[in-house]
Amino acid sequence: MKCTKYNELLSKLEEATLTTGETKEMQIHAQSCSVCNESFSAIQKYKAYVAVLKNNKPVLENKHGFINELIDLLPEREQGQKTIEKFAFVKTIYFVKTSLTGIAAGLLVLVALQIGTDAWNIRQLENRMQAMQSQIRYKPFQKGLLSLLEARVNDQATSPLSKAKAGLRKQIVFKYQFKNQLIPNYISQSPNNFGMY
Amino acid sequence: MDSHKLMLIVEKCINGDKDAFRTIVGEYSDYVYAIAFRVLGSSEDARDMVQETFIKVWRNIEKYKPAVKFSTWLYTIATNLCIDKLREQKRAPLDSYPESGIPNNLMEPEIGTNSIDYKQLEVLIAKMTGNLPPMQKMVFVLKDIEGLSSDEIEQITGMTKEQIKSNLHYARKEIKSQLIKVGYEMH
Repeated sequence: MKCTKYNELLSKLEEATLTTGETKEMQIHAQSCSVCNESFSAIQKYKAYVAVLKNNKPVLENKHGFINELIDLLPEREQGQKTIEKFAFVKTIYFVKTSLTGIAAGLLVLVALQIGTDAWNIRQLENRMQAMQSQIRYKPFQKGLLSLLEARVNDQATSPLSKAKAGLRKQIVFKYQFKNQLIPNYISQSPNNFGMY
Repeated sequence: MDSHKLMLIVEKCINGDKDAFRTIVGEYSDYVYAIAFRVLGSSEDARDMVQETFIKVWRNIEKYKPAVKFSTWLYTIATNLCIDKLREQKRAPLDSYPESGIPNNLMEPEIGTNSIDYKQLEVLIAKMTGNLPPMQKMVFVLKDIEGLSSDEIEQITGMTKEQIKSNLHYARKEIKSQLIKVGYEMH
């Protein structure tokens, strides 16, 4: 390691974001370079000092007595209606904000679940097609089974999201048919002619 | 303490319920005390600061907005009071702290929780951070000792991220030079 590289890693050492390997490399370099050794040693001492302060957390002595004393010192508050209304308004805003965030998070989870299910379904469909391809050699039969499969996909399409998913599945069916020459080439050039979209 | 429960307590405090306020003091006083002690370097000053902070919180509690974390709002008050206090204080010359006041083993990182008494800790803080300007000292304590994120420090102190970074850099530099000056060996 060179001094320039060592200096680049110094800030990472201070932030404690170095890997074990990098720390070891720095340590080795510091042993062979007096200038870098000084800064390395200073950081180690700094970390030790911070550790001492962290490990010796000051604790409020006689906390109970302190709180009692403090409560006695508090001035009486005026119980103004205006203050409470103001706070209630702020609280409502906060409640609405929290609720909206909750709803948005819920929707995101639902969409993520739908996408996950969709990916899984598509995978299943592809597997079934592969199986069909290997089991049925006679192309008209393959075509017939694919039509049935497509019909099932259409049946499942109820919600806008399901329809979108069905569209995706149709694309797969269409690609499969084209790949295996189950449809004439001129139709495959324009999927809309095939009545799929 | 969950935010809903805290909000109910705050509402009671707005209505003048001192027992509800007692719950808040019980919950947060240790943390405020720790920050004040580490910044001011004196248990007595820190105790006064905690008292002053909570009296200010009680007087201004209707100004608290639930959109901000209660702890952040509270620490903002505490840190502002600490900075004011530091600015008022005349800096004690470092020579006034006897060298023998800091035992050599203080620099061991694995040192136990109860191994240093408050007097030693006060001397240690004064020796190392006594020369730092208030904002540098505050950023050092909040970031490196309390482990708060830059975003939280930004909210508490009102400084920009660049200012926080710069203050922290100078604070670390000064502390490191003090550590070298004092010359403690690593064990």
